[in-house]
Amino acid sequence: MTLYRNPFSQRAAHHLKHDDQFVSNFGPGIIGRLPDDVWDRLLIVRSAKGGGKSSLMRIFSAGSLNVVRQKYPETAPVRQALAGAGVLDGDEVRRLGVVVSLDRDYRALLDLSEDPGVVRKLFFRLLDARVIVGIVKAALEVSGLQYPRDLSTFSLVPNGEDPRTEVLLARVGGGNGRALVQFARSVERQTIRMVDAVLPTSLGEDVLGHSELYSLELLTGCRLSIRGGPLAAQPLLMFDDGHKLGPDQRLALLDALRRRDTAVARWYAERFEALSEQELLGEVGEEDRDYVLLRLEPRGDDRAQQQKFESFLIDVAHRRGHEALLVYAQERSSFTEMLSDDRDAVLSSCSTNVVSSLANRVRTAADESLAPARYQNWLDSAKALAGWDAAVRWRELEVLMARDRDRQPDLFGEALPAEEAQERSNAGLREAAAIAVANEFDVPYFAGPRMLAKLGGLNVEQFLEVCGALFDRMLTYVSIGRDPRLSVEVQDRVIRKASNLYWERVRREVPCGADIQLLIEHIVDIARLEEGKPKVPYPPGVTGTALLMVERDHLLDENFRRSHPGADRLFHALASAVAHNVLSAQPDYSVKGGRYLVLYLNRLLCPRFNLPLGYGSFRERRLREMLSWMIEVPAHRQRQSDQASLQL
Amino acid sequence: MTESRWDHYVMGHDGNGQSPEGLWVTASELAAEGSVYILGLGFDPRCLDGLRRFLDCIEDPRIIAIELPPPADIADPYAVELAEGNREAFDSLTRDRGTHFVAFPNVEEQASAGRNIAKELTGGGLLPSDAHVVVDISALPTSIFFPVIKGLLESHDLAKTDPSHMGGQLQIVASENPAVDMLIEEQGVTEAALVGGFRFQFDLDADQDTTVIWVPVIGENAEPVLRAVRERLSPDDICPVLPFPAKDPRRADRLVSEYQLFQHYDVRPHSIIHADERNPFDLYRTLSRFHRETREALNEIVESAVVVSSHSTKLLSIGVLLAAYEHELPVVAVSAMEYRLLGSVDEAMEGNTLVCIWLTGAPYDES
Repeated sequence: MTLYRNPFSQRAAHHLKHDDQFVSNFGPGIIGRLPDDVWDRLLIVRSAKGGGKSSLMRIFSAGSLNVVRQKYPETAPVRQALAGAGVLDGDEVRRLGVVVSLDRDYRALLDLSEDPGVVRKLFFRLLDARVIVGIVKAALEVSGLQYPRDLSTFSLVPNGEDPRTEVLLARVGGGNGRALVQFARSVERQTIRMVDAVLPTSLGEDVLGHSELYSLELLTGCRLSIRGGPLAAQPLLMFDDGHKLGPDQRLALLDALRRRDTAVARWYAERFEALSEQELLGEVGEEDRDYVLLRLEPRGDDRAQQQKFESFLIDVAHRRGHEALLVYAQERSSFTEMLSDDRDAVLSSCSTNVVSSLANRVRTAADESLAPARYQNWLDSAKALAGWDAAVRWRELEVLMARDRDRQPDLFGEALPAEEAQERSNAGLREAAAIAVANEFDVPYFAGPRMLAKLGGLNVEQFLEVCGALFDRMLTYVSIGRDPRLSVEVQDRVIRKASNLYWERVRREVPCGADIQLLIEHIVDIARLEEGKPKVPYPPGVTGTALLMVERDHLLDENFRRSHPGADRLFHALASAVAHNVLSAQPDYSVKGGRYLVLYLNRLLCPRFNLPLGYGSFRERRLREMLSWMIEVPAHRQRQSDQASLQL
Repeated sequence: MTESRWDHYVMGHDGNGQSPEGLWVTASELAAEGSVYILGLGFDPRCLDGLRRFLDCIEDPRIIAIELPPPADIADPYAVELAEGNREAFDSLTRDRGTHFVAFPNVEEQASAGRNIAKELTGGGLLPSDAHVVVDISALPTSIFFPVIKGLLESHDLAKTDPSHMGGQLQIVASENPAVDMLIEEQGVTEAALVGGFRFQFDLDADQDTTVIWVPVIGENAEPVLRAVRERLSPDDICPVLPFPAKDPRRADRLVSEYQLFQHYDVRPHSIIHADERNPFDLYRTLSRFHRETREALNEIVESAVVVSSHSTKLLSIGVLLAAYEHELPVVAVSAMEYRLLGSVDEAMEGNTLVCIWLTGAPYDES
């Protein structure tokens, strides 16, 4: 029996164990999004869960750089991107990355003592130990040496004769690699023993630690040395998963990292959480002066960035799927080329003649209007088309004509030119028309590479998950000797199933899942209300809602939440939904003279609710209405609850 | 063959000739300082099964109740109703008895809650040094009862001259019922973490890269949890434990199919381990042997770590706990934020079986 492995099943690239596997699957486009000046000031990277921040950091680490330096053909784009970013200069490494993960053990330190001074010291002590180990490992690896065998070849050598540097070196065991790691190991073990204890213990004076980040100072005051010779690369410390720290820990670390009097490059990554105090970076300093902020996901209203990101996702899919398709199916086409987008074939297999039905309806509406001749050119332009394009155009015209009737048209004027239909329309309306056709005539809709990228919701992990579902189907075909290409119908079925599974997972896997589903159902109700209008109000395709920023700030206030029914549930549901990517959030969106927090449904939910995939359209709601969503049980849920009670 | 600590075990359950009551009475008579019954107070409908029977045969025990956080109303009002009902029934059962309540700690990190409760139980003067202690895990999540039992075992294993040493007779009780398990759905399961007390020295930055072998003990309906643990560990190899022998001989096959272990988890057929679905000590022995053999095979070549997780019944999780305690195996778990009942539990409750496992004291020649 041949076992076919799905190359998309290991979702997150940063979990791919082997560096060569990781580098081969890495899409280098993301490196180009780094701001220019990230080597001498703090870079804060934010993204949703699965948005790619850990992968971005890993590509700068020693293991990845070593793979890239070997100049395999498939890693050429990554090599080029790293050279462009100033990380590689030929074969030489200019920036030596060390990833320090903040998701282990640090937060547990907060439960060891009620004294904030004590926990701060424990925090920095453990962090220093891990930074030191990270730097030693990275230096050895990039020099082709082994850890821990070659520890004694590494040393930290003071740049000058600063007594402070000598004191700090002594505190961490001395400059030699072996001594440094011994110190770090001892600190880690001691700290973990304290954290993991199940019998009462006391914190001894000698393990209390220090309240500054020594490692930054040390790396500024010393140079890295291997076998007595200097390592020219600038250390790049990358702290990942900052959202796992307690609030005070996070601020203490950011405060330490924003210092400009250090020779070390500092990056810090955290998951984006639109409803937490971390959104407010005022205490960290001034953006551009003290830190640079990079949001990995493009904003929903930034179409150019979205398209770039979608191209990056397609590139990732090609890399993942290429070898498997070649080996399993002897197929040289790319993964996305295996996804048919032939919608004409889909229409021709419908029982109803979709194009004729729509055309007749639109002609009837034109004939019954006050100026039938006005739309003649528009109707002729649609008649010239065939298949799916024609169906979408007829539906589009139906909307444009309804809108036109509101404009008090010149009943005796000439027919509107065909180009005017184009000018009055846009991509959003065309997509709304397309999905309206699909919904009305039960035509498979969700298919094709373009839609696949959109379904990823601007999130790498989610994109890979949808690809994985489609690839599973391809593997089924391969295993029975069939062509692995997927028709539009098959893709639509797979994607809708993935959408429904995702919906179930929201309830099961996401904290406050039931409340989040309630929230989403209300947002979908808004969308239904809008799409039911004949004129499909501008902009079309509502898939989100928005809350005034000032009302968002109310929700952050515990006292407000205590005094307003539903507020606590709404706050936790929104916070959880954003943290887990069920809703994407864009703060400070300016519209109609107000600043809004815009909340879009995760794109993978759109197939379940038959909604279009484009961003851009939302309807704002006041906080008091959103609070009522949490209190009043919607009618359809009440019916479900009644039925369940009867069955019990 | 190397002997493990609990190779010769004592276990009693309804229908096997050795009832839990028999074990309780024997243990109670051996303890110089009376009996203590520790349980979790929550929504699980089985949470008072053991206590009711215990009170029928043991005179005047002390009772320690760990107050679990109440279920969220939105997740399931039925769970809220069950929790309230359990509390009322508990108050009625324990009226006029000495009951100590352990409040659920307010912590920054979830795993700290279990550790803190363990410290309160072992260090607060609550437990005499020569008592009969019963821990009823029926309503306690893994993140709580694992560190609690570890704390009690560690206290027992301290030198007798250590003032914190606790001798006496330690037993674990669980009210088991797969039909009820199937009705309880965990919700809000997201990220996996090492269980409090079972981190040991796993995954330290200063150590060289370790080959991680993940051994999940698999039961039904655990897909989100398995995914979360795999994401946390990024294991180099996965050796799932499937139930065999089992009441339903095809159960193991169905689990392979449910999770598509070969396709989605890259499990190789020869990596599958089997253990008796009804005997935690078979699992304990199996895990102990696996750990020894892995260490012998790999340690000359590469640093390796066997990491376990339990996704089956409470009974089998005891086998995981004992193996992890004895061999210092890291344990990973995923905590649920909420629970939902998928139907009425009344009918299913008729199938409850009480199990008692004796862990320390007289059966192990400890006097």
